[in-house]
Amino acid sequence: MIIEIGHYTLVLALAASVIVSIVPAVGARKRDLSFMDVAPIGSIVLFILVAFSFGVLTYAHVVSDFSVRNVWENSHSLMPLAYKYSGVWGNHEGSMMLWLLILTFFSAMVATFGSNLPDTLRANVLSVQAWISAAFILFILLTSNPFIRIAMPPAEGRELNPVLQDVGLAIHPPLLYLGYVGFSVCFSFAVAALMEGRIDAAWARWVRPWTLAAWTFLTLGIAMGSYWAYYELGWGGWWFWDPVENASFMPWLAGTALLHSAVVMEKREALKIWTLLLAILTFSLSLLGTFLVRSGVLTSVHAFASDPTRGTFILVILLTFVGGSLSLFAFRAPGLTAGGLFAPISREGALVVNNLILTVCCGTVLTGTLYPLVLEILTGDKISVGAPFFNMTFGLLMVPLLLAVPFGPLLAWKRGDLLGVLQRLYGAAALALLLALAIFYAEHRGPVLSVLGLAAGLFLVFGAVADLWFRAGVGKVAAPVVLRRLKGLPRSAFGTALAHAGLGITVIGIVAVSTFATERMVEMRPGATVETGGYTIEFQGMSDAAGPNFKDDRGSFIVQEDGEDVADVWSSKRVYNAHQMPTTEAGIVTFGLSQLYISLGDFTHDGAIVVRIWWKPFILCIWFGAIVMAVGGIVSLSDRRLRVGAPTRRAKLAKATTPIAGPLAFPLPGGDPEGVRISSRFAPDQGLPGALG
Amino acid sequence: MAGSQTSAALVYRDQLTELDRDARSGHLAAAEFEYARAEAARRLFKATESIGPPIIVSSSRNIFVSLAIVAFVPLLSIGLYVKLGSPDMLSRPLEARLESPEDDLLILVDRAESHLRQQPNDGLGWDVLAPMYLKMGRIPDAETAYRNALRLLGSSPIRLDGLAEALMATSRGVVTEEARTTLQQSVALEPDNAHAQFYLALALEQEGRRLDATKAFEGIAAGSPSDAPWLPLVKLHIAKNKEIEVAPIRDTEPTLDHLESANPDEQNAMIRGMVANLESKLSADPDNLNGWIRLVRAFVVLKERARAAGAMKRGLFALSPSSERGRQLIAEARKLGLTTRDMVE
Amino acid sequence: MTRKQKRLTVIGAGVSFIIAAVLLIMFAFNESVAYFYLPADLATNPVPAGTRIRLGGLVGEGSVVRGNGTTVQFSVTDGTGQNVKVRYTGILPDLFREGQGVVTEGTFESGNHEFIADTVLAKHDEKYLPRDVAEKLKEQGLWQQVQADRPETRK
Repeated sequence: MIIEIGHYTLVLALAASVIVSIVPAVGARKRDLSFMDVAPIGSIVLFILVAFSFGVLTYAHVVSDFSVRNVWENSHSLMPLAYKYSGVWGNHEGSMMLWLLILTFFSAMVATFGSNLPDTLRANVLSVQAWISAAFILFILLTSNPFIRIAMPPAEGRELNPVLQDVGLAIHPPLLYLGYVGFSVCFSFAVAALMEGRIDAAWARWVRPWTLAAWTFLTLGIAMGSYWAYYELGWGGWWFWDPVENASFMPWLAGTALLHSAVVMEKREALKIWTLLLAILTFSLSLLGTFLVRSGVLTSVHAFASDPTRGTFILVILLTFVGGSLSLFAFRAPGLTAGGLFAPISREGALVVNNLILTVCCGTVLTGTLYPLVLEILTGDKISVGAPFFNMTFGLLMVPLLLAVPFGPLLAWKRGDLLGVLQRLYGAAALALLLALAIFYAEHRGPVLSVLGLAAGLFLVFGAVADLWFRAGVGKVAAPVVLRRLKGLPRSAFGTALAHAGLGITVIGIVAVSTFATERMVEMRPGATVETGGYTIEFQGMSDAAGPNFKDDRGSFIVQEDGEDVADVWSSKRVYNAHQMPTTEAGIVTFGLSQLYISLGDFTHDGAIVVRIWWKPFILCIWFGAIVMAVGGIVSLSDRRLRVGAPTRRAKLAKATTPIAGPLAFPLPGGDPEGVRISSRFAPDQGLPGALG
Repeated sequence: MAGSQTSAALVYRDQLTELDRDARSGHLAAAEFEYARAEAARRLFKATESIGPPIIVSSSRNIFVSLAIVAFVPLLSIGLYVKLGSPDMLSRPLEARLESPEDDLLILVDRAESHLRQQPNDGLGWDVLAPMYLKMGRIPDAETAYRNALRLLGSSPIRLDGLAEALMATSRGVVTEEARTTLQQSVALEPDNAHAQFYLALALEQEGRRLDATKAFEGIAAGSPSDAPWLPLVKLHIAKNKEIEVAPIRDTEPTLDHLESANPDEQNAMIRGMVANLESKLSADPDNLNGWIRLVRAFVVLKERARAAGAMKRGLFALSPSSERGRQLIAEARKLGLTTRDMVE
Repeated sequence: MTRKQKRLTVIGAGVSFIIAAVLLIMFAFNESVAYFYLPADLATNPVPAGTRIRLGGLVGEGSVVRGNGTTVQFSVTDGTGQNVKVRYTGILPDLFREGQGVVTEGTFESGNHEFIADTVLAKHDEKYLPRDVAEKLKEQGLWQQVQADRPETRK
């Protein structure tokens, strides 16, 4: 019975989402609080309903209830328990349920933590969230229902695709969706602002924590997916510019741009309209990604045409939300008050450069991803747009951004002093170049470009350090003052520095791997040795091994350095019993940040085996950098300013505001703010604090 | 609850506090501070101005809204759920099914299979499994199981009849030569085996020997008790073989409307007989749109979706999917609730 | 500079970056986009040596010859009788089999008609055939035959 209750709960959730879609929005229009109050309660109820329904589906998977078709298709009673859980979202229906769960989770979070928002804004935001929820619940119920039953339940399930039975892939989708779907909140805020026809600097601060959270999860999700592909697929690559990867990367690029433009809006009330547009575009790209992955167009445009229900449904959702929000934007944006002015060389200017480059790069990826689809639909020609295209366009276009990043945080708001900043970054740049050359000589190979690439990466890292260095005034003031100043810096300043340094680390990893990696492909017989990356690898021989649901043909290797054994490693060709699907399990040895990657090929006719061995120097930097970026995001998120007006703080503030003490002594209506003379004297060594990078 | 001006003002006040602290701790030069403070203050000033009409709390209309919601939620949810859900189905966790598998055919089959993997020469096991396979539509498996049971346990009318049924199912209802000899063996063992006799009569009918067939069917009818469940079907065949020259087949066969008056067992038997007959006819002459439609409909009534889809596919193959009649067949199948997906799979 | 000039400079810089990006994309499309061909397409519509293409089809039965070291030769066919000889140095993917679908990427050598592949993919969808190949073969009406050769994937 519980299964049917779960099914009914999902239907009930549809009803709830329809109510939250309409009532609060009407209330906001009438400025009637009793209507608007439906929003927070309704959103939390909606989340509870969806969570219950998801829980029931999970339960069905865990107890192997094969009377549920979804369980029968994707589970097996003998599968390890962990994969019974991850099997819930390891398939189309379940992953859409996860998508929905996270969407309603974010709505519930806004409802819970949004009591500092203006009533009308909150009501509208939650209404827009509920529109999205309603659309997706309907999609699930009508085309991808996970609760469809089998009258005569089979005795055993068909088992999850063995490639998906992996820890990496169990965590990857939830992280990715937390990112993807998190941007829905930004979208809802943007649409709500457009509905109200009013937008100001405070809006940016309200949106920022959501953007940050979504961005952080997406960063981790993408990194996780990339690492999974690296160790599981056995090709030694870590990014393939595959449409599925691009689908998650595009919202990341747009989201990064949004993160930065929201800062400008918050600090200077400039770029308001652009920020709104970015918020809409970012979530639109998330929806596009969902469409690309879920509709089947990527497998084949014809597959899409022959079984169109799902694809068409998502396409309709996509067009409705993107088209609707963009029309609303076109209709309302001209009526919004324009923002502040600033000089080209200033923090704002730097952030505009950031936005320009990120959005253009995002456009490039979009073009490369969609062009083959469009061409196939229009002309029937099949083309492949692969890594060379993206490396050439995206790679080149990103270079100026990498060089510009360290300048941003050091420039002052409104009007910056490029020369002053240049002087401060001399140290960082010189250090970066020196170290890049040192690494270059240590590796003894690679074209000059790689030195520049490494230098760019290191420049990012040192630039981030320099930012904190100068803010703390190291060398100018006494040590205790430095400490006090560092302590006084807002968390977001550290977040910025960490995120920028993380980007630098990733760039170093990418450049090092693409230029210094060595690949050896040799036929080996037991006892044969290969030298690579300063290590000697000796092939021990092949042996058979079996796991719970697979058979292995295992090749053992010993890795030696200077004649001493430093590691044992095996690589195997694996066949899963259930699917009879051959896969390659790579043998990976980690030395510091670098790795040896060994993968087995075919036997040659004279009994040797082809072995492919890569030396991948600094490869771990790629993912380590992403983690540092995410940590930067979390640190920024913990900045107390983002919690302004949160319930706990509000009580304190309420007390504090009455006897307006020190900082609030500004004579509000009396002191004519327009009249305040802006000093022409410029102090280049102090930017406004607390910019978020 | 926060009005829009107070919420925004809170943010700007906080910006001011922040600026002030930064200025004091030395992060901010005096000039920068002044101008940033001026900007934040200007925003604060703007935010404290009242914007738009005040927010109200209505109570009178609230009742109508609540009522509308109370009416809407069950209306939508129950309506949609009844359409989508299977409210009569219980949960079937595997463990519980394994504990009490009495009515759970597939669990029983699974158990028997794993048992037979261990002891492939357990004739009783095959004997139990064979009819289950047949019931599930796993015809080749059923055939193997019957053969194994016959090999290990010797002949019996039930096994021979089962094998014959499996063979006929393979040949889509046609009583093949092998099926006929098998049935004859069965009749030899048990002369008043109405089951086998019926199929033998059917074989005569399929060969076109209507007179012999009529006689055989009449023989069965005479030898059967008056409440035998197969009697209506036998009578149908007698009638059909007698009147075949006079009236077209379609009119003499029971339609779905006629069936409704019969009891469920009879209904099933009648439909199954009709289906077998129809199938053999269609495999002999597939160019028959109405025949295919009736076959698909019969399977849908029998709740055998897979076979309905199978019939659909065969029909489409015979009529060509792009032809006018092919399209008619698809349209009919749609009406019966078959989807394109069913047909493709 | 006046405010107007400043603004124009900024807009000009932005626009020129976008134009540069568009030109780069167009250039990159010319350089690195590979069209997909089956052997039969090549027979009617030959591709000049040196042009990068994707060649797909089925690996010819009995055509795989392992040469020196890691060099492998095989032919790609599509059932129309046309076939193209392919040479590839590297590790073949796990799912590479004779009679199975394959997609190779590379160029034709000038002089002889050998296709030098630098990538060989047997990356499959759930139907165990690369999708480009499956569709093209479907167009030729060979799909059924290909499907029948495979083991049943569903119970």
